Amino acid sequence: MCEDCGCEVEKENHLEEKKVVNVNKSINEINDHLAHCIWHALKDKEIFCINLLGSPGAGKTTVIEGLSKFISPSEIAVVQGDLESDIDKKRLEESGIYTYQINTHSGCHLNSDMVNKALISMNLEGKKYLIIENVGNLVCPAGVKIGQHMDCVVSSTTEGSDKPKKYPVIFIDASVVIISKSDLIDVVDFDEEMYLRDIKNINPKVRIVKTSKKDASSFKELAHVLEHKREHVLGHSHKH
Amino acid sequence: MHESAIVGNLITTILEESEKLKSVDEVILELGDLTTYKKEAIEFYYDSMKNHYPVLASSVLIINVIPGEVECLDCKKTSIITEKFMIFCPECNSSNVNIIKGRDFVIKDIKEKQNV
Ligand SMILES: Nc1nc2c(ncn2[C@@H]2O[C@H](COP(=O)(O)OP(=O)(O)OP(=O)(O)O)[C@@H](O)[C@H]2O)c(=O)[nH]1
Ligand SMILES: [Mg+2]
Ligand SMILES: [Zn+2]
Repeated sequence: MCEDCGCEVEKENHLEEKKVVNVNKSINEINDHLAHCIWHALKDKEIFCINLLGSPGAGKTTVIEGLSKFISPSEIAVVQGDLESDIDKKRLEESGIYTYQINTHSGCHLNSDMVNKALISMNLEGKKYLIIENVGNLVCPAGVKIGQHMDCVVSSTTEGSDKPKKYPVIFIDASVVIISKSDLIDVVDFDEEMYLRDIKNINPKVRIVKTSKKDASSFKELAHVLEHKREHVLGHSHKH
Repeated sequence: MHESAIVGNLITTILEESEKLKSVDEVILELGDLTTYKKEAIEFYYDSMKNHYPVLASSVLIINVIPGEVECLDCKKTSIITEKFMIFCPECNSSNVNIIKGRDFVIKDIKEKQNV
């Protein structure tokens, strides 16, 4: 007797056939397709799109403020992703930066649908940079495409030098990693040597830049790096 | 934690793709080891959500974890990385590599068992 269903057919003769639907689809397919469209639309407009990632309080908004001393604020547009509030939008507007606020409420990261809706209602005339400050989080936004031309991770000295080892996924796609709050390296015993070694293991090609709010000139190198990356992406055709 | 959202997407896609089936018995997935999703968490959320959909009630997920694989631009070999998130060529130790596998989460097949 067949053990599986109790029928009278011997196991060997029990024909079990399977109907199969071959799907072969990425679970993020819908999101990724829209991200692809955003990527191209921004490239056509010569707007370089940066996905700015990092923990809550890493210094993401401070980095944008710092950059605006070396890149004209009139050339920067920002999409702010926060669970709640428009505090960061107000801060950036004080620096003369055009900002659109998204509130994800419970959402732990932005997706391409949210970014697309923001872009539809924004005026990007004359902008060279679109900086998307993602929701502060080192896990969930990793690998989620939102149409960005590059990922930039803000990693502050106060979070500790073990972050690349503990949260590798966020670092794996980054073109640029900013070690922010570098004025506090000694205060918090930040082990820079170990940090650099660990990050190069995860992402050997990454460019690392140090910034400090206490030294406005520290954002100059970052501005140069971004300008360079912008030319690289916009000058080359269809490579991503 | 954030697997609950991705399992929502997963169920939507399974329901769309399985319209011609009477019931879904097995869903074969490939989960990259270098993603932010954990196999156990996906299984946990799937098992708690599937009961809302009669066609999925008796289904199981078969998740094949795909390890990270790199293509070396120096020695031209492709290899599975020796340790998760250690991105270099195990053959020649070069860091000049591209990650070619382990970044995706893909639904491969949906199966219905038919007892004849
Ligand atoms: N000492 C020092 N403090 C900094 C630096 N950069 C940022 N901070 C402080 O760190 C805190 C957080 O900075 P924000 O720029 O708001 O960080 P954020 O990543 O945008 O934060 P969320 O948007 O809330 O995730 C603020 O109190 C800043 O003044 C720095 O370079 N040095
Ligand atoms: Mg902020
Ligand atoms: Zn090699």
